[in-house]
Amino acid sequence: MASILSNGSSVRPIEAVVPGRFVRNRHGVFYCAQVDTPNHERRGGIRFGDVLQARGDLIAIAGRDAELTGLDVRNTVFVDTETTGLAGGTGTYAFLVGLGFFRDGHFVVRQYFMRDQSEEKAMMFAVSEALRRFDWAVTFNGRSFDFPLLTTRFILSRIRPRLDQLAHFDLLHTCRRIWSRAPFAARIGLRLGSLESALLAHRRPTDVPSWQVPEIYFDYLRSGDAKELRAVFAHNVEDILSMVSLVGVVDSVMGSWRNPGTVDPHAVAGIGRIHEMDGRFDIAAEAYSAALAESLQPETAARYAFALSIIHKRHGDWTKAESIWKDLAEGKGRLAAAACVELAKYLEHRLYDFGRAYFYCMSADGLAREVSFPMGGQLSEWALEHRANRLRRRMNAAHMAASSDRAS
Amino acid sequence: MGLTPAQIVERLASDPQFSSRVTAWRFVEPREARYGVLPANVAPSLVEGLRRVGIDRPYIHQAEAAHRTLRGEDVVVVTGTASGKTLCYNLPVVQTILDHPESRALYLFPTKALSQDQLDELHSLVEGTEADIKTFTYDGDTPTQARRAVRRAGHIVVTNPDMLHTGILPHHTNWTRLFENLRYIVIDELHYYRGVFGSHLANVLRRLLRICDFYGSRPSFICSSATIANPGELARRLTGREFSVVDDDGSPRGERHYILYNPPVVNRELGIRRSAIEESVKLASLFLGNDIQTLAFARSRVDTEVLLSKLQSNPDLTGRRINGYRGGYLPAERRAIEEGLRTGETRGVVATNALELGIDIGQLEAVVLCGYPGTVASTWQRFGRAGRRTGTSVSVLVASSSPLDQYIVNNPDYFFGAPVESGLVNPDNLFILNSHLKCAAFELPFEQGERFGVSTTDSMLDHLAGIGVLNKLGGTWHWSVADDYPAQYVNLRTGSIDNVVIIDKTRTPKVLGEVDTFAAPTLVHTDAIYLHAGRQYHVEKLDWEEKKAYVREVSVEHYTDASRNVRISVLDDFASDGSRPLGRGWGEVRVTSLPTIFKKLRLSNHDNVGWGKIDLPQQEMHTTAYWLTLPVELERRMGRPAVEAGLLGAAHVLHQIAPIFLMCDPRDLGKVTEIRSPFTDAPTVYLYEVYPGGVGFSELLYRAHDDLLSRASELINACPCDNGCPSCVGPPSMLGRRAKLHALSVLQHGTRERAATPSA
Repeated sequence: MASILSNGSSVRPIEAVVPGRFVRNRHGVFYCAQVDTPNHERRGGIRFGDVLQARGDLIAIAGRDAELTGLDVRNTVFVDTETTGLAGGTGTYAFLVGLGFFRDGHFVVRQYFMRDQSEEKAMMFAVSEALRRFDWAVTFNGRSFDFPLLTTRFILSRIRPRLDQLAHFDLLHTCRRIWSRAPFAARIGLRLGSLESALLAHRRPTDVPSWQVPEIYFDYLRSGDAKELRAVFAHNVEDILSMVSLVGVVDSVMGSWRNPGTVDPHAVAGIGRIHEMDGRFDIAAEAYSAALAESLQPETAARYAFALSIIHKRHGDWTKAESIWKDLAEGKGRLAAAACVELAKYLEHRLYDFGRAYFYCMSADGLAREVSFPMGGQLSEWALEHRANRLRRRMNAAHMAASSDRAS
Repeated sequence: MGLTPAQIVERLASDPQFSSRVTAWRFVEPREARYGVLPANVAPSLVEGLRRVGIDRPYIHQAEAAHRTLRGEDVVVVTGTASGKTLCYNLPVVQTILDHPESRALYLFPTKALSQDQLDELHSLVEGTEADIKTFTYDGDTPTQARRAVRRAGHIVVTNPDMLHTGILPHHTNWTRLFENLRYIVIDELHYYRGVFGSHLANVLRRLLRICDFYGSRPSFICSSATIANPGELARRLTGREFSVVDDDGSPRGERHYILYNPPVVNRELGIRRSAIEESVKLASLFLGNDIQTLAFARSRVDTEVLLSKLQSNPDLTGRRINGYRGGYLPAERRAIEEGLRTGETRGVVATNALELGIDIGQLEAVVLCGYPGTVASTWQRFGRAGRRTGTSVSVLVASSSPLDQYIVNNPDYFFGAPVESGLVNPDNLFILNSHLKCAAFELPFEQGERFGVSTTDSMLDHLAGIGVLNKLGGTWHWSVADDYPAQYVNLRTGSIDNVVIIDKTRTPKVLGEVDTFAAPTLVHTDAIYLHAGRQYHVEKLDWEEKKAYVREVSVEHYTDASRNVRISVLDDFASDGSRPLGRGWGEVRVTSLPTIFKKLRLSNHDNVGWGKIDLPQQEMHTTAYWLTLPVELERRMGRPAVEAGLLGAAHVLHQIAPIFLMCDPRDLGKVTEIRSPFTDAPTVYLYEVYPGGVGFSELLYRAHDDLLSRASELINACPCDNGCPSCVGPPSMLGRRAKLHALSVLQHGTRERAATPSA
């Protein structure tokens, strides 16, 4: 029922702007909208329906969480909320909760909306009931934002929060690990929107910037005019659809990085890093080597080469490690200094060649001085001085031993 | 080998010169310990835990507090320094957790440093019981990774009001375990929560209890306080509950001497006495020279630093570790000093009231107060720092020439006989209440008819809804501001949001300390000399927008003293009868303050050696004020210059002596005189509260009007100077030679005029 203001512009209620229906439950009424996307549609190179086949074991590796191993997209809910702010605390509301899931040949986004705070309890109750059907949840930054906020809203509505019963795959952290060194990351960042344009080549025709969302909702509360909310509902659907596609991308890069040329080498190295963090050094070395076989920016290549050299060292593969260090030692900056220190350690402790070790130690000192000695660790001024002093002592001792050998 | 405290006391008593300057010397006999009996249901493991920390029997007050708390009463314990107050709350709390392991307790301490000390004590007790009781500190220093564990598993959460206000209450859903099972709220150092801070705390507690109610818990309170006149009332005003007061102190103590000392007059005409700092240095040197651990208290940061540098440069004390201790020092510096005092490595400390708050430094043998601390209660707290359980201790108050000091040392019966002051709070200060009402609405929606302290809650909420902060739907008000967090705008201690940070640029830039925004324009204005840890710093620039002062270490022979230009206008007259002119008034005022100039004063003799302008914006504040109005005809009778001098002189005395009636510092009040006030249309003296909205001082002065004026007259009459001096109406160089008479005349007219108004 649209009322008419004196200036002639009509105030349009939510149902006139976003198609949907009112739902009543024992806690009251709220508004529910739904957008169905057929499985055969695509975003970027990903067909939605194919995401149903995503492999849980790969997602579990990417998410560094063994609980995700059995992940089955058929029983997975994709969650995204629109809120009254980022400040946090009990006075921040989730006024729109979008839940996405596959059903009957479609990907369904169901949106739970409160027309004002008095409908919150009914809405949250429905959200809670809906979540009961799933075993897994996918979010983008849900771990530190959406889930704590929803938990707060459940508690305030006196509804038992069920979120901790869902195994949770937060795309944000995984995407950051995989693509943090990709050239686009430095250019446009690693927010959902930038991943969407870089990895899915997807452009939203129009979009509302996230920072405007809280104010749009409060304008609606004051005026009753839902006109601007259409864009917020659309934004929420877009976010969820991108999350689905990103799961497809993660699944795909995790499964195919060994095939040369299929995956951005920076992402391959990122995958290497994940394996390294979890102690799978063979696979990590394989990924770093694969990445280094492609053309990378020099600093990036140096970083991965160094990472690879440390794995070689761990495996006792000294020749490979030494050759990487020698290459790096020719360069500049912190990595070159670190490579020099590794060479110094290798020469001192493995080959007992104190003279050359001392040479590399002094090179490291010069290189580290240029980057004003990082605090702590092997490259601190104190550590380098300590190492150089010891090497000097050992050189002298070796020299004395040699002379006395000659004398005798 | 030096003399013992007892020998020094004997020597001082037989020194005729010293004795002639002593206005009072009280001696308190040693006292034996009196013990009580633990409640019968105290668990054997707790009895064992107590035994392991050296307690076989509790003192009578400890036992009494445990009995009453475990019966479910809200209890406030008021006993002396080092009487074992901590156990009064630890005992029932630990006992309750042993009985019901899911129960929780929240400990509130006014400062972080203090909570650390009390936590150590609690840890030893808990360890002794061998029970799995987890205590955690939750404050700004708690690492993010540790916070989750505190929220879930902490039986006893130790925090401060500021953290409760900004970090816990607005996130109460992260603390469901705590709030569902909260059995006790412990408030240590209750006396600290008066004035603005107390008024804020009362509202934070209203919010806390509201949240407990949501989670279905009803915690009891256990409070502990230093001696104040109204502990039960203060606790009630802060929490809204009725309290049972435990004040029968059963702890033992050694022989104690309390001495009031007035430095000799060196210039009778100008009324100049020898400086309190000089005399304090002499006394402290006497004690320290005999290797008696001594604590000297100064009233201001400047005095602390001057006293410290004089002691440190005394050749007789070479090799003795003597430190400064005050608010601007960083926590790590303070902790090192506290530790030094406890171990005995540090022999002397010069402190401001930053050390007043029961921080555990052990008990010392001698205390020297350089100047009256401003209240009877805080004087006793500082005296209480001296006094071991056995042996002699001595405390000396060295009076400065300020009117209040002179009143106190010349009326020792008032000091020793008077009940200590009352802690005043005004939880319903509209400014404070309204800030917390917003925070409360952010935390939980308000229901119609719910009462937040005042009966006008509904209409205040309607007002907030009217300005768009809340959304009223049916009978419920919901928080309704985008991307906001109201607690961040409310500073519990100053009423302002942020402090000015002092950055030392001498070497690598580092943070030297902080000063509150109100004090900043006069302490760290550009070109001020700021003193820290005995070192001088020149303020190169005060960036008012960024709230940062950039300083560089210097070595100069002067300090700086800033003035401000203050104007006042009355917005609302609260006095019931509308007739005017009236002798007295009380109401809401607007105060505008503009820092003007600063003087450079030589360190050695306070000579003026230069000045400069302060270019900072005017500050405006709404607060409450008390005023004294005089008949208009006075100007015709006495002449304008005489009335002006009389007003200034009377204002000087009234401002200085007002703290006798209030538990406050003269700095909590400002003064303004007007020969023809636009509001009263008559000669007027205003005393205004320096905190927005005021905390009740003005009303109390209004009620004490007659007494206030007669005590002011007494002080002027008793002053030995001829023509006015800083100890009474101010120096004659400013007010002329008949200033005392003019001031007395003004005070008499103030009284007489009021007496002539029958309805008042």
